[in-house]
Amino acid sequence: MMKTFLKIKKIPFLLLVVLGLISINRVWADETKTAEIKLSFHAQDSLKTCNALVMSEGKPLANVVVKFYAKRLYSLLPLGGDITTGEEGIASLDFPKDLPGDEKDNIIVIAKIEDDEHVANCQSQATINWGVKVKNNDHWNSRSLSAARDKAPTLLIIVSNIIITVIWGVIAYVVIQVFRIRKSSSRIKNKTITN
Amino acid sequence: MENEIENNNNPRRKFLKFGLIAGGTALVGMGVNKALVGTLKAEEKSGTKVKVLMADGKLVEVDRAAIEHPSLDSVTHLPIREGLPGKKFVRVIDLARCANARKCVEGCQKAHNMASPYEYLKVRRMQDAGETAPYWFPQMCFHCDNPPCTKVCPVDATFKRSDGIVAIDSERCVGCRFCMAACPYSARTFNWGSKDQPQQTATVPGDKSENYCPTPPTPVGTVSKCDFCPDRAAQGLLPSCVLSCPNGTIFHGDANEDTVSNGEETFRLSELLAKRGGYRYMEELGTEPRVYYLPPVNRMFPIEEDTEKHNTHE
Amino acid sequence: MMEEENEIAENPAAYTEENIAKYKAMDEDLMRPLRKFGWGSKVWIGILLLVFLTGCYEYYQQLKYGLIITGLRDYASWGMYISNFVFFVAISLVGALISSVLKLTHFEWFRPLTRIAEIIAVAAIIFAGLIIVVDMGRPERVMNLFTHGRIQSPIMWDIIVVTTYLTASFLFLYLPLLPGIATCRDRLHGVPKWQKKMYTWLALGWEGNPEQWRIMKTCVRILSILIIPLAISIHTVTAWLFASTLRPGWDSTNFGPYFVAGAFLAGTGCVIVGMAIFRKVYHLEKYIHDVHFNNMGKLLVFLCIIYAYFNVNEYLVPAYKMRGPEEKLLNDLFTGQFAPIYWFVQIFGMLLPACILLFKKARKPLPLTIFAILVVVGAWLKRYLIVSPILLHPYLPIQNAPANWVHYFPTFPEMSIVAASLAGVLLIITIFSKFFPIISIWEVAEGDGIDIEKIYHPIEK
Repeated sequence: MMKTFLKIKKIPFLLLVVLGLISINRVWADETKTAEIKLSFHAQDSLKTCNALVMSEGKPLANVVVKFYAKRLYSLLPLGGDITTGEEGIASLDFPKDLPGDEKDNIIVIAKIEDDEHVANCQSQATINWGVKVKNNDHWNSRSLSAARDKAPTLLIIVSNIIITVIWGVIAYVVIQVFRIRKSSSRIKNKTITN
Repeated sequence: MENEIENNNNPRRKFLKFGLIAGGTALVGMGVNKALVGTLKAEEKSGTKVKVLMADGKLVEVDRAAIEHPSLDSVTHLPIREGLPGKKFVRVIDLARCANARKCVEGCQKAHNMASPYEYLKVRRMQDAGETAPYWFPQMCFHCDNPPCTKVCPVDATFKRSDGIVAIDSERCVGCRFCMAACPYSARTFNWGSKDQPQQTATVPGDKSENYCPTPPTPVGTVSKCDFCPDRAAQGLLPSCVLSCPNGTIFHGDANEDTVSNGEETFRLSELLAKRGGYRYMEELGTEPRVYYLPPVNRMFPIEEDTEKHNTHE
Repeated sequence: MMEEENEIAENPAAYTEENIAKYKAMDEDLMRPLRKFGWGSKVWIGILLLVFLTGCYEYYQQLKYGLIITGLRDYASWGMYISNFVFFVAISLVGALISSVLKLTHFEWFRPLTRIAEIIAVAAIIFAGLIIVVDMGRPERVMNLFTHGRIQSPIMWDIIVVTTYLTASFLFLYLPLLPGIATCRDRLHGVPKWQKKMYTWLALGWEGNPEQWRIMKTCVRILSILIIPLAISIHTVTAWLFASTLRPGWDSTNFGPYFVAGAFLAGTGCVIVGMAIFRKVYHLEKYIHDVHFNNMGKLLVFLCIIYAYFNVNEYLVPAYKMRGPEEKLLNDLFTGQFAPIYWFVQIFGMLLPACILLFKKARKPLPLTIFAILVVVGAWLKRYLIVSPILLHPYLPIQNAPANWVHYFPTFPEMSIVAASLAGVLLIITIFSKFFPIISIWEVAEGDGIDIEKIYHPIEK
């Protein structure tokens, strides 16, 4: 008796389980939306803002956490912490006024949605010319004692050359005199004549 | 029925897992083998023998022709006298995090083909005064902006580059060791020519881990030191020591970008120094180091004596 | 003087004859050692050659295996080679001191000693240059110093002054030697033909005519003025190899004069030993009298006192302050691992000679020579104290290093190479004294009042 009861009940039970799983899946699928981020930059007076508009299926998403980064050589520098999108789906970042960029003052800004419950991970990047040059008292190649051989301090070059020239000049004079000793010898003169 | 389904799946999963691991190991093993031993043809070439440092720390002699190593590849490492354009490398070391794990030392040694006791990066136990707390102090070449070492080099073999790095041209160095005498931080080391020093480190082709570094090993009779891993920087990789540290003690970056990173956390250099009271070691010497320290306040770990390692290998 | 002038006026020929005979006798005395090559010389040169060749073999080993065969490691990266280099530069200053300073100040008693001092100087400076190349890790790249040299580097300055001083010293040795070579060319018989040819070639046709004398004396005078600043700068620049670094112990403003003072002292000790040996071996008692020992002894005392003054400045002042990084170093020197050497050097190498040689009895040849040997040995050990202990006390503590990195002791190959350099210096001096008269006869004769230009006639008539 129990066996037949179980047999009859098995199929609807299984159907119920399957339906339940499918509906849960659908619900979850509905919650985890795919989103797009569109970055835009606004400068007003001295205030610089970067806006990230999060859209999903043409509709702006509110209450989504967006993280802003600046792309650096080795890693991503976080800017401003976690910013939540407002009613219009815009997350607004107060752009730092003293952030350096590359040689042309360009900064690559990346906006990411990570680990959000309802939105799939996505990111977007844009370049903006808001870089501020770092104060560089760059004297690595100026003339100094620590520099390369062609960048020696001028005074050192001049003084050392003067000293060397004078002293070796005197030595050269002495050496020439030594040859004059030889020349003034009648022995050698006689020898060369007789030879 | 569910149980039956589960039982059937388990052995399959187990088999798949096993298969993947076995296959992966085989591939890795073949790669390592190729790197070390090469094909039979390569072995037949009797060339010079080279000492190779294996992952387990043993020294093995291998035919040079069989070695594949990024430092032997002529395109991966850059000309030594040119700085990476637009960069000014800088480092911040957080003394509150250092626990003398010495993984940075090992990582650097592996990347630069050195066996102990030669270390570019030394971790010392410092105690400034009798009553002050001891702390662990990782220290390497500071790449000073007013370097006392480049001042005294007679042949221009060590020099300051545009990217802030104080580099050494191993082809020019005559081995007079004046720079070693001039450095007040004992940052430099010399290849005295030991039979126990490796000339290469075993590596897997395509390895981009913290042990990968295309910088060639130091020739005998020349000076070498920490070089801030510029060959890794050119590929966007942080230096070996930075990535090897389990606590993220060393932050490395570009002062022109005002950013430093330890691989996981990235900060603005100016903010980090201001917030945490960054300072430079022995500022009064006037060498203007490019390495800053954050004082050991609110330490992550208590100072532990038993992690002190002693390198007594000659 | 008036009487002498009258004498010459009365009988010029006789005066000249007498002086010529005197002069010839002096020449004979100095040429006698050049004719003999006894078994003593053979044994001595044999020993020196043995030591030198052993060192050469060890250097070959060093070229093969690298500097690992020495006791040098990363902390004591400079050791016996460098301290030996500083020692050689130090004793080479004596050439300038004796030949030049004393000449210019008209001290007459030095005259027999000028050549001894000069050959010590030249031999020492040659081996100073060689030992520096021995210390290099890549000696085959030595030309880089000339093709890629940096004028900002103290090593570059050292190379320039050493080369200049070697040239000037060599000329300072060679020029006054010309009359001596001419004498050998003309009157040294019983020597091989090649040796005679060598003399002829080196004599540059010297015949003692007035023009040659004039040229030679002018040049010697120029060189004697030039060589004093050169000698002082050579050791000041060598001192700056250390003083230009930031290390505690070397970061001293005192180093230049401290080294120069020590150099004069060490060199004087060497000359005393040299003159004692040559006097004994070549029987030169007629020329090197007790007076010379007495005066050299007084000079030694004087230089010891000056050096003691600089030592006080160098050690007492930092000891008064006991600055943190210097405290360990000074304690090591005064009471620690370096104390035995330090006190031996200061007491036996400097203070004891200064005190005991104040007594005239101590300035007799034998005791003076013993003290001079102590001074020289002390000077050599002092250079070691200047180099390695400071390197073993850097600002950052030495930790996790092998035992042989924490202490420095030279290995046998290292000591053998250094011994070879010392043997090389002695070889040069010995061989020089076997070929050329070790005393400058014309200068001694001039000092005796003989008008050298008038009576000098080396050519047998």
